Amino acid sequence: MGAYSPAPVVTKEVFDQVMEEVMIRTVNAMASEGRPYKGVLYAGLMIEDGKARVLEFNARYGDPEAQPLLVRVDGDIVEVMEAVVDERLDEITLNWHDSPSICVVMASEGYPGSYETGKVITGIEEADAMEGVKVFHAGTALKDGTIVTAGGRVLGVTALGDDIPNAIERAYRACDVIKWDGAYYRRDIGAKAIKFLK
Amino acid sequence: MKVLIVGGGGREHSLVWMVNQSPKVEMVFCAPGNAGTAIEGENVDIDVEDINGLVEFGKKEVIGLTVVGPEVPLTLGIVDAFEAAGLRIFGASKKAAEIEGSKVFTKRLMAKYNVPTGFFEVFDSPDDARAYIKEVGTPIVVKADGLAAGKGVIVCQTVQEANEAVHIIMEEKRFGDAGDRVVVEEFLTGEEASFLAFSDGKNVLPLATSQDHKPNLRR
Repeated sequence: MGAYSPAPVVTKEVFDQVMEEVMIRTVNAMASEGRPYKGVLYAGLMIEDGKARVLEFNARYGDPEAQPLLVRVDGDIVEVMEAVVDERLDEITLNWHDSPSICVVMASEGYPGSYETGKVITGIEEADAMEGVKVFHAGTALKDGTIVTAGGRVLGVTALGDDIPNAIERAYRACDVIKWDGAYYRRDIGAKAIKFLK
Repeated sequence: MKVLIVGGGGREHSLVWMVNQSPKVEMVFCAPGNAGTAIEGENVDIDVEDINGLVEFGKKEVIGLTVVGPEVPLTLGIVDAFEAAGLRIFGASKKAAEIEGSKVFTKRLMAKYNVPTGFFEVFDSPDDARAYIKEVGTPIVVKADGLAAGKGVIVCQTVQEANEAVHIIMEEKRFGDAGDRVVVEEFLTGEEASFLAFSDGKNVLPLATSQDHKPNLRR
């Protein structure tokens, strides 16, 4: 499991189509239905032949998408969220770092089925100190001052890079120094993005 | 300003980390949080579904902004409860969160307002659902109407699988009331992407694009 940003499949044309036909149209529709939509609207899309169609909507930030997205924000996210609450989003611009990002989810062996918890995790500080890397916790807990596993999805190892291959390399280098008994992660996160760019 | 992040996953840790960088923020709480949010902020031992408990905490600590991570408290009306208590909160109201909480609502909304999506029908009778599946054939997608922790969407390659999905959702009631109705929907092919945008009810501000890599490829 994991996620990355940007998604090369969303070309300029697809982006414009989604803004007009999906996002703005849906926000207007919700207002017309007496259900004004405030917050983050998440559209899960399927894109074929340059046209997007909606699979589902979520009423929140995605997980793990929030991790690679938020590390790319170049500004104050609190100001954006306050503008949403105060209904003055038209006054806001939001800048993004050009660097692409990727998040590799490190999970407990067995997830999404049954798995064990309480395993001591090592290497997080070392990984966090690597260039462009930020380790986000998911199913973790502090036990007597030590970080232990407490869920199926344990960590979201997130990295910014000069380009997508560089971000992938950084994220996996960080994953490789993080250890616990039963750690598991996919090695192919971001591979689809590279395939698309070729 | 004090900020409260509701949730305890990777999404919430990234929100705590991001919010902490704002010069306006003096303190970030996370309920219930995890080890990462405890290190970078302060964890509060309140469950995400304990709406009254969260409102009381927000009042006691004079929280200036609450940000909700997961969907369940949104569909339970956490935003409405905070607003009624005079507390500022970022998230969809109960009525707006129907866009995630009910697939029937959302498919009908998209059909009414011409938002591009796959063809579909809604059923409250398993026999009618199975008759429709027999008529349109496979591959097809069977979805429980309500929230099912991400497990209520079943991609079916054969009529037998689709009938089984209807049985699991509507008769076995594996997802409880979420399976009172199903959406039987076109199986879309192509490349998946996520598109997120902020909205204040009128204006739309897109985030950067992103793509999710699911634990497996079925959906």
